[in-house]
Amino acid sequence: MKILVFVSSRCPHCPNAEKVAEKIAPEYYNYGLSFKKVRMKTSEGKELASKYNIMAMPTILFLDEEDNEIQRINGAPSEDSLRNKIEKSLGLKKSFFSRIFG
Amino acid sequence: MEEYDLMIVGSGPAGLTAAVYAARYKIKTLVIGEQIGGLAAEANEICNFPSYKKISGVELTQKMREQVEDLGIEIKNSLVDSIEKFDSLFLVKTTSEEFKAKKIILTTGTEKRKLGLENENKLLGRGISYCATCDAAFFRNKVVGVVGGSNAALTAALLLSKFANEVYIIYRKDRFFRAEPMWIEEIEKNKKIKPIFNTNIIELRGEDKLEAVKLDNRKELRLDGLFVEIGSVSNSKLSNKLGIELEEGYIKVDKKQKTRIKGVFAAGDITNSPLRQIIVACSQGAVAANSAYEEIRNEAN
Repeated sequence: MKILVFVSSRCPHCPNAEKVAEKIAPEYYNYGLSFKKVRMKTSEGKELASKYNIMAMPTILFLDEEDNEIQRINGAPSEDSLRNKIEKSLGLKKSFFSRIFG
Repeated sequence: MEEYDLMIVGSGPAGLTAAVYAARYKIKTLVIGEQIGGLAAEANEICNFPSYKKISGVELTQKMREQVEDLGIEIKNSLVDSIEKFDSLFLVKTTSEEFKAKKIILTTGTEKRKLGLENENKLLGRGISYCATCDAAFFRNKVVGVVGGSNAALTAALLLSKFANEVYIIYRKDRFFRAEPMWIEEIEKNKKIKPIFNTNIIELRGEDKLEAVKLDNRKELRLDGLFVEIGSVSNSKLSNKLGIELEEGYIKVDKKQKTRIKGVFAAGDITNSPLRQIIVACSQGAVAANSAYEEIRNEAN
């Protein structure tokens, strides 16, 4: 799984989003997670924003191995919230229903 | 479990100022908040904070954050789930950690009010936005709308007019009576901005992204983006659990920023303040830190 963090210079919550992602993502590298910061002013940023319909800053995009979107977070999440979403997407955390019904 | 003299819950201007004062009192302090800088960070231009003629919310709150960190106070980026009182100490829980604290200052502020329409969450970040400062640049040469009639709505429209071709302000009243005259004048002078009065949005249309809104005058307005600025609601979940007295949803405090619960203080937009501004939040944060320090000192002697 891949995490892209879209950031821009004008955005108030981008520094927080960057900091949180930079801190939390490496904890899951052993589970096949990779992380990349995408600056909106670059041509790659513009291309990816257009491809995934990114219209808010910051956006954290979760992609599968074929680059399909799994989910997105708009705004800067707390460390706990990002950890929780990564673990769910990687299948490390079972949902309430699967814990009960298997 | 780590024990602190003071835990400041919330990391906007009130919480960060309280932390500056706490550092000077040399009490062991932790600031814990989900959005460092709070809603103030989203302000495009701040023109009424003494010492700066004009400064962006990001820059001002970043300076506050740096000052707190330079003073050696830790700022933790987490959401507090609960605060419980046990004898003379408070137990503060996040999803993954627990802390003890002698005193608490609540500065959890407010969050943007939503329209409450179907599709709103689905289209969030796909045309719907609550932060013009963050997202205005995505709407270069597009058509956008702003809902609301406050200072925040008008300043959002003015910022958007620098990027978009057309900006509609959709407001339920017949004129802008809540906004400051200075902003109203700016709106009237701006040829790209078109107010639509006495009108509400009743439907958001679009699948992968916002395409149009339906108005209660039965007309449809084609929009690429819609910025919601219809006020805010207090983040009072923690105060409810602690049994703190509220006044119309906001924490009731005395002139020392004390709440009804001994050891719990509150400052900033979460309180029943008559004026919700950054400068007021900062001054309340200072008073709250001082009051907490006085209690800690008196209890130690």
